[in-house]
Amino acid sequence: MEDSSKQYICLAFRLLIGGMFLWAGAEKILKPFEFSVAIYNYRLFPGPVIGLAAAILPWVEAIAGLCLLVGFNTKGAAAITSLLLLVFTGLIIISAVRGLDIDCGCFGGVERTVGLQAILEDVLLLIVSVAVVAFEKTPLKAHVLFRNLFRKMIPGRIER
Amino acid sequence: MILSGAYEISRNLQPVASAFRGLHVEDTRMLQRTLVSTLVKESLVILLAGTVLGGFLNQGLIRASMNGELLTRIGQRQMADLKEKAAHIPFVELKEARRLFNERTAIFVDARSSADYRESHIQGARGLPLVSLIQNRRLAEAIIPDKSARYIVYCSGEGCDLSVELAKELLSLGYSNVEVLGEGYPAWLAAGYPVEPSR
Repeated sequence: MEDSSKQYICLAFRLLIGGMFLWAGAEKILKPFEFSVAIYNYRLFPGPVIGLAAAILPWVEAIAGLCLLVGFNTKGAAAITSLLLLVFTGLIIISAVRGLDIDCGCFGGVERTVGLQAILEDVLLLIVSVAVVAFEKTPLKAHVLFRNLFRKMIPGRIER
Repeated sequence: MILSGAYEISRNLQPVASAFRGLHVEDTRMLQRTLVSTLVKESLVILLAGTVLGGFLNQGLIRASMNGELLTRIGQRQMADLKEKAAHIPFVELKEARRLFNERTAIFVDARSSADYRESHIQGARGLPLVSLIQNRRLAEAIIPDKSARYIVYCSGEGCDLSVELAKELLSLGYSNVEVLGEGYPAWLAAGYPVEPSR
């Protein structure tokens, strides 16, 4: 496949994963308590873990999604979405095996019960997300911008 | 984990890619190191931003989770949702259920799966899984024949609606006195009330 075609496909993948994570994260940011109930329903985590996850995870999801959408820190963002999808898939598999009939809590406002369909969807998204990690080539990267900014702020710093 | 996974992917892909591009092995190794370094740096930037923002804006939630208040609030919310779903079906409190158990004035019905029932249930409870009743509505009469007796239906707690759904089914089948133990089996077990097989 030509490099340009591959990049277009990669761009489509990036926008898909970015849009989904930004939406999922934003919904949970608006309703953190509801998200904590969804985490509790898995019956796997103690209270402090539920609170921390409900507070931080939606922001990580939304920022990673936003980065993928705007082409900023894309490899890192895709690595995080891949990691999250891996964890979510694992949780859904464990819950399905335990026979729990619960909403997965993946997207606010959309009822998505734990089961085979949710597992297959998450695996598909995981493949797409890993493809973005492997093939994405967006040049704009936050740590480079921060480094350049830092160098401008401290002019005497020796350039390497 | 994902970083090492990505590293593995890149390591496997690079020799193929370098063969097409005419790169040397040293070049591909350098590319691998660059990829891993980029992944780590970029991921950390996002994780840090998410942790700072989420932690700062949800201090109340985190504090509530640390002192155990969050679990209480979740339980209350789930009970409220369950009661809303139950509409007109009455609920019985745990202590009241225990009193009725002692007086033997109510029959307990377990709405959970057969496997859960076999593992452990409230002492003397009849097992009537909702799924089985939906498949065979005559099962109710075989297991609980007296339609005028007082029944207390339970399942796995506030987050479980099997008890409410079973109570609705029983009412539609003509059972006149059906209540729901919202706290369910976990609360009964945690209170140290009698179960069988005994634990």
